[in-house]
Amino acid sequence: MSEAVLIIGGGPAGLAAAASLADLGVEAVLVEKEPELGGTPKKYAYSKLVPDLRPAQETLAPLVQRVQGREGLRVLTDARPTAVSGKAGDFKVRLAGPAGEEELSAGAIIVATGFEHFDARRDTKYGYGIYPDVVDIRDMERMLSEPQLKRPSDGQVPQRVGFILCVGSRDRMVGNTYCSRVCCSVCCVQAIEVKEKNPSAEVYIFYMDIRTYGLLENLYWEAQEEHGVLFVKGRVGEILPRDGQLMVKGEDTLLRGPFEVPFDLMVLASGMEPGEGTVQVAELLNLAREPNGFLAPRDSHTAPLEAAVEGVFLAGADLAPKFSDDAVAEGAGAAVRAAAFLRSRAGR
Amino acid sequence: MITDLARMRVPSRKAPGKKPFPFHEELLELGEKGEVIVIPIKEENRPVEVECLDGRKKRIPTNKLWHHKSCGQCGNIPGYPASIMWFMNRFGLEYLDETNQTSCTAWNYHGSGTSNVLALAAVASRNFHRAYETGYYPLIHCGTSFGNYKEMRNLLVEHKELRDEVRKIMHKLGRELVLPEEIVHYSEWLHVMRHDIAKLRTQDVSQVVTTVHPACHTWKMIPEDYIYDTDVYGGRRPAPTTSVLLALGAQVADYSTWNDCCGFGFRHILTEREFSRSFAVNRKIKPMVEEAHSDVCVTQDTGCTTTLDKCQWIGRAHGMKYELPVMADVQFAALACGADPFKLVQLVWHTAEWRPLLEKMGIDWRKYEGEYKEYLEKLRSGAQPESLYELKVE
Amino acid sequence: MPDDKDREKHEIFEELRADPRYHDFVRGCLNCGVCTGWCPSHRFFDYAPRIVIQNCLAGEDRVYGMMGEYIWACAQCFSCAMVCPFNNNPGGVVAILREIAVRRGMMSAKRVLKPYSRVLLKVMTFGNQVSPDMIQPDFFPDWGPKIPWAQEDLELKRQAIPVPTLRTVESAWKVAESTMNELYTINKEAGIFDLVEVNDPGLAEVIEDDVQDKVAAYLAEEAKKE
Repeated sequence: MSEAVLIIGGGPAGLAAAASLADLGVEAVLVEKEPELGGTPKKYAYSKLVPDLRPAQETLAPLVQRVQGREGLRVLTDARPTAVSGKAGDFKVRLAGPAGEEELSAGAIIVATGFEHFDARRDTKYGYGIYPDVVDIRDMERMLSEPQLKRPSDGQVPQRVGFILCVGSRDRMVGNTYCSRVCCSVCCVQAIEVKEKNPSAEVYIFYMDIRTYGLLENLYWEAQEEHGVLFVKGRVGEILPRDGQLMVKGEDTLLRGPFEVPFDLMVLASGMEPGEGTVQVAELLNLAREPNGFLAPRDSHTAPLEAAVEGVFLAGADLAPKFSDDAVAEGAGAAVRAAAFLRSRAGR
Repeated sequence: MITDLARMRVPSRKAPGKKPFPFHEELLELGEKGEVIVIPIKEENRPVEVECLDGRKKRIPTNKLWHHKSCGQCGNIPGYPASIMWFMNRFGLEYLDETNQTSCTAWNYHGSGTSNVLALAAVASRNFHRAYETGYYPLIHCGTSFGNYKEMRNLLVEHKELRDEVRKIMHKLGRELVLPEEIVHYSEWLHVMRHDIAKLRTQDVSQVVTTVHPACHTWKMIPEDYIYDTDVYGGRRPAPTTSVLLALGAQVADYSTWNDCCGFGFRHILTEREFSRSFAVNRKIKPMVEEAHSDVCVTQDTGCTTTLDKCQWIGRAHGMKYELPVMADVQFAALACGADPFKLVQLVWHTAEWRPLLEKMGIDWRKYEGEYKEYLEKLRSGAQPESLYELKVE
Repeated sequence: MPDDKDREKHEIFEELRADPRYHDFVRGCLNCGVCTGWCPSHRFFDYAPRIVIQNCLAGEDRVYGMMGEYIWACAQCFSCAMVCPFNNNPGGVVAILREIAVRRGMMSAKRVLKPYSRVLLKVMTFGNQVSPDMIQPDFFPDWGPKIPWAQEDLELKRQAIPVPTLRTVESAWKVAESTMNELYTINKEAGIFDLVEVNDPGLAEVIEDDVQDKVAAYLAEEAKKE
């Protein structure tokens, strides 16, 4: 019988879970496979976050701070679980880390293994990875973190920038049929950032429909009204190079019909997929996955943060595409569910 | 520099995740149940394994092949099938070319609607049964036949009613419902043979800038059943044709309309010619010449070779004096390997001027032209023509 | 006769939906336009694959509206089918609708088939659509001055081809009579002669006579052998 909780994944969800457990006085171990905490936003140097355009690093720093030097909380980076045995209340977990292998006991496990961006090389229409000036939103976050936005091929400031929504989402050809939920909003924010850095740039967003859901609806208004970002209804069919520029072809399905226009930089709103860590941990813990590959909760209505495997709790983008603020909320929620679970067993 | 993109290599391909219809498994299952006779790829066919768009492994037979000829190639571009057979002779491979074959008749279907699935599927099965009874494995020369047969194969595997109807017709012909384990286009054969072909190279083609026109019906019809390779365009574009040019050491230039169709359009080439010629010149030839500074347009199918070649001349009406030679990959490869441009590659049937290209390839076309003219005169006076093989008379 | 037209509309729509391929070809559409972005015909004609799918979803009036020139604009390249995020196949829908237009002998089909008689004749007799003797300079004036050369001494030049099956001028390769006979049987059984007859009775007769002559000659030859 162990009183400790193992948290797998040190992104926003895992960090929030670890801090919450420390607040509750529950012993915990946080394991992160990367050398640094902060998850995908850290790994890919995200620039500004939805909805308020706050710098990502400014929001990550306090999350990381809250898990440092806490009593009863061990934080291991560069480490990952390699084998799990036992059952709820007494999991035996083998960890591989920089100091070699170790085994630890955990009463409960929180899985917060997150997502990976869709690999846009799988969508052959857009030539991602073969034309340097076709980038994805992940690359764009890093590029926008620099003082000036430059296009990769020649370091010039791009004057015509286009965004293509739904790359690797809602598309049977690439195999991902779900909506990745965040990309519409992220692209609105990135488009605004492009205009902030270079107000003379022409920025277009090519959309099938805009899913800046809920309170995020203002993002595309702001992008249009305050920054002059242009929206074209139509999914781009293909990108091809011509004379040092990118020829972008598609159909404006509302107004202009077919178009073939040059751009300096094209940004693909590559969607979200379960990360490699999520796939591995699902196998280790025998966790059910829903048809798109994300982790499936025991009951999405009444137990949205619990796996069908007793003693295993779920949080963050390994469950479905979501923003980091939702992931933080779920991390805290999963921590409470795990603490309650351990307490109920101890009382038994 | 020019060829960097085409030569781009990746350690492994990222296949799109679409779940295609698992025709191969289901076909073999139908074969086991005796619903369909499946022509197996045997050891003697010396198959080579390749990867398709979706990551599936496909085996391409290289030997003991039955030539499923193309009507448009045999009719207008006779050096096309001749070059395929010439290479097979060079490699000492067994093949059978005979008169007991019909075309796929899909031109009618795509052009005028005067066919239907039943007739097309029956024609496919008839030709496959003929190959089957000879013991040779069918190799499809035409891109449209290849695309059409892939489609008919999938329909036959999916729909029992269609199988039953086709089988009835087959019985009337004294034949059976037959499908090959894999439907194989000659460009796929060329792809797997490319390193052997490169060993036969006699001409230096390193200064020749090629542009490739991939044929719609090879890679857009049933797209999951065509070859992609880690060494060609980073696994992102269809590999055949480009791969053989790379193996021969030619330059392969990218151009912005590489994936557009040629303008052939089946009925358009005959009855909507303004579309065909405008499309061919403006959308294909012009970017090949002006963006890519191409010396030759290399194709992999019948209708495209004709359209892109024959439609150039009329561009003069708009001041566009393009003379970009157009030929199939296998014809270009044969030239690079020392084949006779007249007697074998039969460039005399090609319209856009190809002599400067031959000069760039170090081929003395004047010598060959002289020999060809002499040869015609000899034939006129009753000499026997030279043949790649001896036609078996039944 | 509004009733007849309504009936025709309705029947065409039902025939389309009854085709076993239809439900694979038409799934759903959010008007994203990727297909049209790739469409070669869209650049030259009033034609868009997106509209083909939208019309199918909209019902019989809109489908009927495509039965004129619309369906004949498609180049059958199947780019649309390859890139559609929904896995629709607009080019495939066009193929079905053309079949229906031909089967029903509609005006648009008759018009399209008119200049097609030579091709039809070739394919239905020899099983080759294209033959060397079809490339006549008067028919292809826009192919330039080399075409007349190619027709000169055609037979001799065909003799010079090193592939023995290709030494013919009236078909792309020499097709065995037994093979022509088989093709005749397939076309007969699959109702292809009926299709031609509906649209061009004169042509159907010519084709059938021609094929029957060849077949009869073949059968007589066979009988002699026995």
